[in-house]
Amino acid sequence: MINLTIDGRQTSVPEGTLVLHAARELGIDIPTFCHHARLLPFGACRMCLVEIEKAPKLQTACTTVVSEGMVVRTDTEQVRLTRQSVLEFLLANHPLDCPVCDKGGECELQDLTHRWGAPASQFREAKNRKGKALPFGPFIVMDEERCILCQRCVRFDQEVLGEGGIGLMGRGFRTRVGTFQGRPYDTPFSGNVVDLCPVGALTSRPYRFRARPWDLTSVASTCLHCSVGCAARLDARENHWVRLRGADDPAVNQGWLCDRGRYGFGFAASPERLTAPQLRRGGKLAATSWEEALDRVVQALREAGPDRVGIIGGGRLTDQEAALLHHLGRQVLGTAHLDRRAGRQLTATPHLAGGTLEDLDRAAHIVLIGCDPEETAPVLALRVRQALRRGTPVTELGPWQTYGPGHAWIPPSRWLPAVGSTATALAGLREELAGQDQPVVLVWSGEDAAVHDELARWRQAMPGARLLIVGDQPNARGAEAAGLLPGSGGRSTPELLAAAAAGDLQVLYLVGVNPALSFPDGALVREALEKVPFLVVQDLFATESARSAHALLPVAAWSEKTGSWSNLEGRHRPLAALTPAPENLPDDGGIFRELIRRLGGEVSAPLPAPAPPAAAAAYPLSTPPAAEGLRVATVELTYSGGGTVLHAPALSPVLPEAWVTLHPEEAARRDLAPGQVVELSCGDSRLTLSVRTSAQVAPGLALVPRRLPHSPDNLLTEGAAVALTPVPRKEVLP
Amino acid sequence: MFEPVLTRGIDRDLTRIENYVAQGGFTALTKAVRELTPQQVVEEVTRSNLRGRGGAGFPAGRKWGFLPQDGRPRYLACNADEGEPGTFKDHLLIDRNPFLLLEGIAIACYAIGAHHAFIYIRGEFLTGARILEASIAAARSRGYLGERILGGDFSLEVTVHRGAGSYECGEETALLESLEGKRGNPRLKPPFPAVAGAYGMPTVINNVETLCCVPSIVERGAAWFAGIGPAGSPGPKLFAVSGLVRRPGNYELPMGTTLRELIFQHAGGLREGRRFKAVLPGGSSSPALVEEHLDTPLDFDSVARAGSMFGSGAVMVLDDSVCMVRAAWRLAEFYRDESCGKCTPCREGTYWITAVLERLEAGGGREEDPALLEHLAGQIGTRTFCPLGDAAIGFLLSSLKYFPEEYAAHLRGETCRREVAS
Ligand SMILES: Cc1cc2nc3c(=O)[nH]c(=O)nc-3n(C[C@H](O)[C@H](O)[C@H](O)COP(=O)(O)O)c2cc1C
Ligand code: SF4
Ligand code: SF4
Ligand code: SF4
Ligand code: FES
Repeated sequence: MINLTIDGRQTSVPEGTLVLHAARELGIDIPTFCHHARLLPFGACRMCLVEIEKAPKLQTACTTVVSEGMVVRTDTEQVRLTRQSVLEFLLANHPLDCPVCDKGGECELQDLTHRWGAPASQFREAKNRKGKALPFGPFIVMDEERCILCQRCVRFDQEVLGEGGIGLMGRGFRTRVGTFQGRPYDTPFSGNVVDLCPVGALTSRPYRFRARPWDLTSVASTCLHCSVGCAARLDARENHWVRLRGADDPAVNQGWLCDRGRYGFGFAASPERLTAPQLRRGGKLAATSWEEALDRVVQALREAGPDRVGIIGGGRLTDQEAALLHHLGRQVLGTAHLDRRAGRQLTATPHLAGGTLEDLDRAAHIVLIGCDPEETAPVLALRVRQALRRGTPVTELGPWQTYGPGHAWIPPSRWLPAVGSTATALAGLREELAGQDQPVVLVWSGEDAAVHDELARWRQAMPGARLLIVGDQPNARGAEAAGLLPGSGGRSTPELLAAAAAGDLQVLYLVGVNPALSFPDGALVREALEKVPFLVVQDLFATESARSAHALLPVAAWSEKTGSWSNLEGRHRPLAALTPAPENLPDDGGIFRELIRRLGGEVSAPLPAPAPPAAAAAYPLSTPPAAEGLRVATVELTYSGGGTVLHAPALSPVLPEAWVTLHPEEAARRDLAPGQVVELSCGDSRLTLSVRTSAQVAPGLALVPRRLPHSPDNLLTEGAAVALTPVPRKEVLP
Repeated sequence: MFEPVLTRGIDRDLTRIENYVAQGGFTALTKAVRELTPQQVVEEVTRSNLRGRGGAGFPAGRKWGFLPQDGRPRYLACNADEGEPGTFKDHLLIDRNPFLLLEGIAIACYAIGAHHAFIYIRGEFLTGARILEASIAAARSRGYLGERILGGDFSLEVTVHRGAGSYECGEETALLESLEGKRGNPRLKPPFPAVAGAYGMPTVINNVETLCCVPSIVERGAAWFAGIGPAGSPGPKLFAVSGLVRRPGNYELPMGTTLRELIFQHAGGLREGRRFKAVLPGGSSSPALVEEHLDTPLDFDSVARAGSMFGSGAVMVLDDSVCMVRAAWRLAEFYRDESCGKCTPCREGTYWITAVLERLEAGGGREEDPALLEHLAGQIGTRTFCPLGDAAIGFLLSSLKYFPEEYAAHLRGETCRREVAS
């Protein structure tokens, strides 16, 4: 410990502590602009200058490390005048357009001027003019005149993202923050710079001019867009959700959010949202009362009997709702046919020692198994980037490589291309890594039964290894913990769909899932949904799966309910209601409660805890034939899906187009150039896609994005042979 | 009688290696690598009390001794940015005596154990860069650079890196950033370059002239060098004299030569009918000195005592035809334009000061302007991230101190340039 005195008060703090933090611990507030807890010490704004005995000049508290016997003064006339002058300098060329600035009321420049500034400025000269309202990318708008050049945004880009998409341009008073060569700032993490900006220079397009901070009500909650579960503050104005900001949970997101999480909130206010229950009458869905709708569902469930009922879904529920659904299914209906899974993922629950996000920071080796965390768990991927930059070896197994060569600041991973043979490659890696430094942290998509079985062998071979499974639904892990997996004798999702298609199922109840888009066997799922005599769909939107529904039950969104859920680590994540649901819609739990009550069950008593599933329940997906020639592989994207993403207007500029990525040699062999439009045919199915090329895709593959509503990949059979035919130009013109 | 050291033989085309060798060139390098250990070279340079000629006057031998012995590669960066207005001494050494510089670099690298040196040369010095490239090739072909220098174990590569035109890139940490291909903004210290410099490795940064002093120290000994000029900052010095003197140019003289001798003897004094007004003894960054200081010896300590700074030893002379307000404005403009923009007081303060001076000069002065300028300068000085902030206010403050009546005259409308803004 180091002893020092600040403003006459003795304190002792650990070695390496910054004067700023030592002072804050004593409750002595030193004003700062460029300092940020998650960025490296910088020392540029000069707001935090303090007196330190024996130092010839004032020192920046945000960069000076304490030393034994140090005597610091933050309360002298000189320090006060310096703060006043730094503010006066910052304001000299500032446009003072606070009345129309989004940041007004929560602006660090305003707040510190109020606290430390001079009553009047001595600046009488012409102001330095810069750019206003400059578009910076799909989400960000820049006002250069408001910028105080603290460089938090630039440092975030360099230190946290390692991208270089923004930087300083010009010098001296002409210095400004700009994008690299004027290109759009389109990193998937762009919105964080708005949170970081202490002033109103960087603003979010969806929030611009929408509210004043004092009009807002906010709650501390989490983002429920993926299984990372980033801490967030949600803001509403007059019951309209207007903003989501990152909150710093050190173990999870460290303050960061991805743009999907941050800007995907518009779905809640989408006019497409279902607001009334609907029943099919005379072949058509029509709005009805809750009374009638629930009666009809109860009647169908009763008539079917436990063995002819199937329930799919649960990974978007809270843990509490998942427990209710489990109770409804297993106890009240008495069926074993429930399964939260609706895509390719067979498990979200590690069957070897479960890892944490922080394990990625101390990993001796990181292995990505068929998983692109940049797309499916973006904020987790930031830790992988950091690991690569620290020199941690990262090995990728699978059809594509996420961390390829050629990046200036992020060294490449080692890639073991594996197509349909990931388990074999993984076995080889097990032998290589056994006996080496631990922990090895495995990040897996939870797909491929052979990989699942191979991983079971890692438990013995490498007890130190840790497994993280990126859930394909945000609360996949919580749903599995709640028992939303087939019990003994129960049917899994593929079996339920097969039974429905075969006429062996009476009622299929889909809870917040859209298998029509997500289930890999598109033909099967379409047939099943068509044929099942009574299809209940409980969701926010009339999804592809809802087209043949007999009962459609709208629900509250996650921003409209309170509870908790479990992220991919199994970590408790709180959810808090920000706004009431439209039309007083019930949440999923409310519907389950009502169904349980109507079916004669009991919900007031604590729900019986589900037996933990011993092993991932079987998930019999048909294995594709090992085809010759070009084969289909699919990849999940951040903006895949037909629900919340599609209905969030702010996201429309970044929604993916339908593409097929080929290895450059494959493209050359077929005389295809990037940008060219092709028809990809597989059996009877056809998709029209535009060609991309990448050496980070294994040769022999045609990689297509999953779950695009306008181009459903599940019309193709993964692993099956495909043919590519160039589409003549005129045919693609409208 | 002082004999030139840095410019010795400079009229014999020393860009030809045979001419340089003929006058004893490379004997110091030969002596160093054959007879001395690196440690002995460091000690010799330390004893010579050679102080850095780039501006800060830091003892070169001590700087070399700071590098941690931790097995990492280390580098030498030769600062040939020479951006300081009024300074043109490195330029001369590069163009006319390039092998002296290369010999100094090689000895310094031998002393600190570096196998790669970078010469960061100001972008505008295209000829200089070409001369250096050619000289490196010539020295290499004769075994003075490259693999196994002079048949010994020591190898050295020298890379010439051209800057892209920014004064701030002469500041040592900004230089390193720029060398690495980044924007030339200064770095936070610590870590100091000696610990984490170029590419994160221990690095010594020395000025061209500093390195040019090294061969003679090795050849003739520390005691000889320390005996030239004052004990506190000894050695030969190239004084770049500019401004309103009859014979501006570079003069090699011992440290400690007085301003009066330099200006009135060597540089030929002022033009006919002109009176001495002020002098900037160490480049545009140094506060002006006036008549009463003319007997100040030009060395680091004496100039500091007189209230200015020795800096790069570039002496700029102003006579009575010069308007001090206009001069202050012109210099303020330079620093405003060359501020890197990283820290608030320098970026905003230089803009503000320049605007006030411009207005004053044009006749739009306000009563409070001199006090305001003093206040602004006070809030920039010692408060900026790097020394450029202090450099930007040195002349301004001295002009306010020694020539308040010129400011007053401008306020009264008696400007030297009577284009009063309406
Ligand atoms: C704004 C600024 C500009 C500088 N420009 C130069 C320069 O052009 N050449 C130079 O040698 N030193 C320059 N310096 C000084 C260097 O930072 C550094 O002190 C010097 O290169 C060290 O070499 P020396 O110890 O041999 O003098 C500059 C310093 C500052 C603050
Ligand atoms: S845009 Fe904002 S965060 Fe970036 S440098 Fe300017 S003030 Fe700082
Ligand atoms: S990483 Fe996931 S949880 Fe975090 S902000 Fe993005 S979508 Fe939301
Ligand atoms: S004082 Fe500040 S703005 Fe000026 S050059 Fe140095 S770091 Fe840049
Ligand atoms: S907060 Fe310390 S210099 Fe900016």
